[in-house]
Amino acid sequence: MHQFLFALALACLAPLALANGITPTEIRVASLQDLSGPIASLGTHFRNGTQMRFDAENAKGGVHGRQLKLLVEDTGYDPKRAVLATEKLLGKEGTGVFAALHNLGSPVVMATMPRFLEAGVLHLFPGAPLANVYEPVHPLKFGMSPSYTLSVPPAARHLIKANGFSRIGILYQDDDMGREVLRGMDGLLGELGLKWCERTSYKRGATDFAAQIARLKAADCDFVVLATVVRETIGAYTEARRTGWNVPMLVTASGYTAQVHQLGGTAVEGLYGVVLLPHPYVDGANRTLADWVVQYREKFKAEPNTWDVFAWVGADLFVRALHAAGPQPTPQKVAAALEQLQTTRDFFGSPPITFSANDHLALRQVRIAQIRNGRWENVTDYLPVAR
Amino acid sequence: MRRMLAIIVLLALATAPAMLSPWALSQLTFVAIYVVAGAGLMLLAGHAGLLSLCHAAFIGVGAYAEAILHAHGWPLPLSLAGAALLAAATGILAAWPARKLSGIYLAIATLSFGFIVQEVLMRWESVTGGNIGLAVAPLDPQLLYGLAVAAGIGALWLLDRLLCGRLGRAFVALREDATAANVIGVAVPRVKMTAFALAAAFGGLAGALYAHQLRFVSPEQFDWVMSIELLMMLVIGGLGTRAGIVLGAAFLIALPQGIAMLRDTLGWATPPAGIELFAFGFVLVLVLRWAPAGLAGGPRR
Repeated sequence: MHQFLFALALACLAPLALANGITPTEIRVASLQDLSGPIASLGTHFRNGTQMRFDAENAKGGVHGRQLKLLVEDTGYDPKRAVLATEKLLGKEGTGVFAALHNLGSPVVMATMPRFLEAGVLHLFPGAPLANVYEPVHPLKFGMSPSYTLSVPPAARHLIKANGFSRIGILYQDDDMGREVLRGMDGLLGELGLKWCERTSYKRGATDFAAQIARLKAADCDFVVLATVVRETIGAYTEARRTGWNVPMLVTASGYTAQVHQLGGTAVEGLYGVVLLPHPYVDGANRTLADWVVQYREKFKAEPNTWDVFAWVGADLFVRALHAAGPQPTPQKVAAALEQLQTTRDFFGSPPITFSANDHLALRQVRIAQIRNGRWENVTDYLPVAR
Repeated sequence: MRRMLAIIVLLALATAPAMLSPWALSQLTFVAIYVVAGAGLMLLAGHAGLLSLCHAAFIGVGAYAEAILHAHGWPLPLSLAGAALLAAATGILAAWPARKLSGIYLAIATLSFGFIVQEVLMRWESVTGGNIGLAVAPLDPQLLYGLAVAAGIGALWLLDRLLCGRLGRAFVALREDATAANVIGVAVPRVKMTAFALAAAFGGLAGALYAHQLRFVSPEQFDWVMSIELLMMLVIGGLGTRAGIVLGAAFLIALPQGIAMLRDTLGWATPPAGIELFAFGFVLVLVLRWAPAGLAGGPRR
């Protein structure tokens, strides 16, 4: 009888014991996006991709009967607004949200991540290529993309070895992104016993690359790494081709986007790119992917891109872990479930993902693609990234 | 009547930590920090007529100084004073080209100075952490709020005192006509330098508090956009008025939050991207149309 009463009391108290951001009917997930600032073109896709995955799950009845509610706040890439949005989302004793998913922008993430973690909220797969988002390992923080220092060398190593390149040059954006690539490539060249043939940089926002390309050409580089974003990638590559210099070039993951061939046209044919997650082309897609693209277009009246895939894959990992964590999930249970997850290649062609207790980074592989006939075509399978 | 109002405001500010949510308290802290920075810029641009576009650089220097000094174990009063002093020294440097410039030429010179400071913050990696930035130890939110409010009130009081005195009259003389000011015995270069040093010190103190509020500093935060934002804040509030600084700061911090709350009540499944910024710009234009002299200046008659 006593046991029965005790069980009854526990059952009555159970709803009170729900983790932060969870009610009997919903799970609240925060997402700080840039929808109006300098990287708004990424932010809307991060939001859309996440929403696609949540909507699909909610249509099936949610996770253990709870609907997934995505609470998006626009930070405009401003850490001040991000801090205020975080405090709003966390609510009075940090009880407002269960997880923060895909927070976007390095300054936003750096200013807000400690606040989420201190409130006991999961901080998952932010859109910031910083090692801090997965290292040192913290029970509640998980990263999606490796830092540029890690992601560029495997692709560059493959191309250098396969083609016997020895005169390596680099054009890099003079900021943290460029310097991270430089650091990673310094390590690779040391490992291969090579020295830089030429290094040249540009200021963020530059539009003319004639001087830098002339310098790389004069040094007679036989392979050039581009640590550039969209417009600079097109500018540098087309400048080289315009001067009749057909040197192979590899752009970092920041330049692997459909915008490069859409805006660059035939002038960017032959460019290599580092792929973390694939672009969702509808031509030649499998049935599931083709249906997904159609749904996406209907829902958002826009074309999906690789950032939607990032968001979808991250949201999918979260949803899987939520299912595995059982009907009374806590951030700790979900984190433990993530550490046990083993995914296989999905319909986008993403690589298998695993975590462990001492490794909270999702993507430990990159592959190389090349622009052929106006689209990125994979030219290698996934290559492992160093730990 | 004014005294009564002041007592009510002080009481409200004193009881705020116990009454408000962390989110609301954080907004008030930001408002107070922007009041400190705005008081400095008001002195420079509003009273001395020196259009500066490098105020973010002074805030940045203060923020980095605080981040570094605090990390080296300096007691808070000393590190805050150090941040303000270092910013003041930066202000004196910025004033060097300003001695002979005014108007749009001064604006461009100060804009360039801001770029230089940002470059130094990016390049001096061993000290500033470069582009990656520096983490700043948090302060207790209530302590930080108290410090920010005290600094805000102190800055407004100091601005009031300064403007009543000889220096304040020199600033106004300089704004009205530098040549005439020179003729009546105002040492124009020295007064300009003093204005910059004082404004930068206010900026530096604001930056130091800002660093703790954000818990993270990086060079890109202190760019020309922030300088423009501060100027906009003063224009919205009302150039040349103390109340304008507070109203402008409240407008800048609280309006986007209010718009986001309003958006939430509309029940959109997926709100249009950037709707908050659009609404903010719209309200801004409306306010300037309705009250060209700023919120403190009242409606157009």
